[in-house]
Amino acid sequence: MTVLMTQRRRATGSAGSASPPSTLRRPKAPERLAAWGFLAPVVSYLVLFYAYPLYRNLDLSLRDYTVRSFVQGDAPFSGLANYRAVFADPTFVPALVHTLVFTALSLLVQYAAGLALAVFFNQNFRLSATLRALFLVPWLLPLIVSASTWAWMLNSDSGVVNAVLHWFGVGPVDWLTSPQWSLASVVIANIWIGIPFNLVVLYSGLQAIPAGLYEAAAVDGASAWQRFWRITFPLLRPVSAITLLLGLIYTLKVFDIIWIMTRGGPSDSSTTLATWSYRLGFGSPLPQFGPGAAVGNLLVVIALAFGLLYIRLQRRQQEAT
Amino acid sequence: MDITQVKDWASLTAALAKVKAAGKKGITFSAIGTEEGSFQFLPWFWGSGAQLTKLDSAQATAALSLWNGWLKDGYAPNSVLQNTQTTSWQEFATGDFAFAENGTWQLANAKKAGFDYGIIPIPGQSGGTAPAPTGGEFVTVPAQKDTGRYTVSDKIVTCLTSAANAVATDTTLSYIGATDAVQGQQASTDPELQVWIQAVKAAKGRTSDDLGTKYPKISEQLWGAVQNTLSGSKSPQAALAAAQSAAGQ
Repeated sequence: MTVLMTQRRRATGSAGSASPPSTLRRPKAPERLAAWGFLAPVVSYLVLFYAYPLYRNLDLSLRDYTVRSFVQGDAPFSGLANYRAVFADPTFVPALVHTLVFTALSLLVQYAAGLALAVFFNQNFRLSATLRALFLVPWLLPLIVSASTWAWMLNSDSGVVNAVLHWFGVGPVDWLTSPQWSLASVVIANIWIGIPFNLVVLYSGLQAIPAGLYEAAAVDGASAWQRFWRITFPLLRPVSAITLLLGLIYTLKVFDIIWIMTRGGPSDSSTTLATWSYRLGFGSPLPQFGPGAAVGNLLVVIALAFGLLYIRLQRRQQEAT
Repeated sequence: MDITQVKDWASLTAALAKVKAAGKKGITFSAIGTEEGSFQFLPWFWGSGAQLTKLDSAQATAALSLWNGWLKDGYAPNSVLQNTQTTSWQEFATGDFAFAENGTWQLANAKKAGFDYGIIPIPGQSGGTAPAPTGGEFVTVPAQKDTGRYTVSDKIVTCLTSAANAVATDTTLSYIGATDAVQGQQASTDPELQVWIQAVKAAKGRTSDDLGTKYPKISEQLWGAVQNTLSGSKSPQAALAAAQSAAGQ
C-alpha cells in the first residue's frame, strides 16, 4: 500500500515536468512487479508460517490419522468425527472447566497484583528500580526451570511449602498429587509467572497519565483512594484491556507449567484443553493426531472469539469519545 | 531385617512395616501418569497373574491394592504419583528408603551412592520372580517396496546383533543382553547383573500376548487407573473397571 502511494506521488510530481500525464494514472508493469516484489517476503512469510500451519491443523482435525497414514499421507477424510469424539469424551467437560477456571483465576489475580505493584512502584521511592527489576525475575527464567522449582517446592514429602506448613501445625497437603489441590497448585505457579508481565505493561501505562491531574485532584481534596478510582483506573482502561487480552491468550494456551508440574493429573484434575491436546497428539506411543488437532482448533476459536470481542469493545470506546 | 526372607508380597509388606516401625521410609517407585508408570507397575500386575487383556480381574485388583495399601500405610511416599524412575531413584539415593524399584541403568549410581545395597528380583504375589516388562533397543526392518535393499539391511542387522557388538552396546547402555552368550559374558564381568539376568529370563514383552498396537491404549488406561487409585479418587476395583471399559472400546 505504502509503496503504491509513494509511486503515485512521485508520478504526480513528475507530471510538472515534460512527460505526458496520460500514462501516469496506473503504475507501469515493472513498477507493479517491484511492488509485488516488496510484498512477497511478508506474504510468503505469512503463508508459510501462519496460513499453512493453520490449514494443516484444520485438515488434521478432519481426517482419521494414524502413525502410518501420517507418513504415507493417505488418511481418509472423516468429516467432524474427531470433533464429535472430543465432545463425547469424558475428559472434555472437566478440561473445559479447568481451562476456564485456570484462565479466569490467573488473569484476575495477576492483573490485580500487577496493578497494585505498578501503582506502588510509580511513587518512585529509593530502590524502587532495583525492586522492580527483582520482580522481573520470574519472567526471565526458562519455564522449565520455574515449573520444576515449583514442583520441588510443592512436593508432598520433601517440599519446602509443606515443611513451612508443618511449623504451623498444618498439613501435609498433597499439592500436586491430590485431585483437590493440583489445579490450585498450577494456578498459583502460573500467577507468579504472570505478575511481571502485568506489572511492566501497567507501569508503563501509568507513566502516560499526566502528573498534573493528580496535583489538581489533590488540591481539590481528593483522597488517595479517590485519586486511584477516579483518575488512575479510568485512564488506564485501554492499557488494562490490552493487558488482559494478551494475558488471556497467553494463559489459555499455557501448557508447559501444567505438564511439568502435574502432567494434567492426577486423574485429569489439572487437565486443560492445552495439555489434553498435547496428550492426545504426543502423550501416548500411539498418537491420536486428529482429536489432538481438534482440541487445538477449539482453543484457537476461543482465543479468536475473545480477540473479536476486544476489537468490538475498542471500536465502541472510540465511537464514544 | 533379613533380606533373604523377602520372597513374596506378604513378606515384602511385612519388611516394609518393620522399616516404618524403625522410623525409616519403606519403598519408592514411579507411578507417574505416563508409560513409565505402567512400566514400573507391570511387574506387580503380571506378578499377580493378571493379564493385560483383562484389567479388572481379581489379580489386577490385588496388585493395585498392594501399591495402594503401601501408600495408605505410609510405607511408600505420596510423591510416587509424580515420580519418574529418575526422581524415584533420587529419593532412594537420600539413603532414607529401604527399597526402590529400578533397573540396571541405576547400578552405576548405586555404587556411587556410598551406602550398602543389595539387589533382589521383584517377587511375584506368592513367590518366584515376577515377569518384568522388557525394554531397551530393538532392531526393526520395515517392509519396503524396493526389496533390493534387504541384503544390505540384513548385513547391518547381523553386524549390530553379533555377540561382540551386543556386549559392547549393552555394557555401554547398562542393559542386559537378549542372548545366553551375551548374558554369560556380562555375568562374568559384573556378577551383580546376575539378578537382572534372571529377571530378563522371566521377563515379558509389553506388546506380547498378541496385543501389538493395542498395548499403548491399554497402558494409558492402566497408568490412569494407578493414578486414580493412588490419588484417592477411586477404589482399585472402580478404577480398573473404568480402565477396562475404556481400553476395550
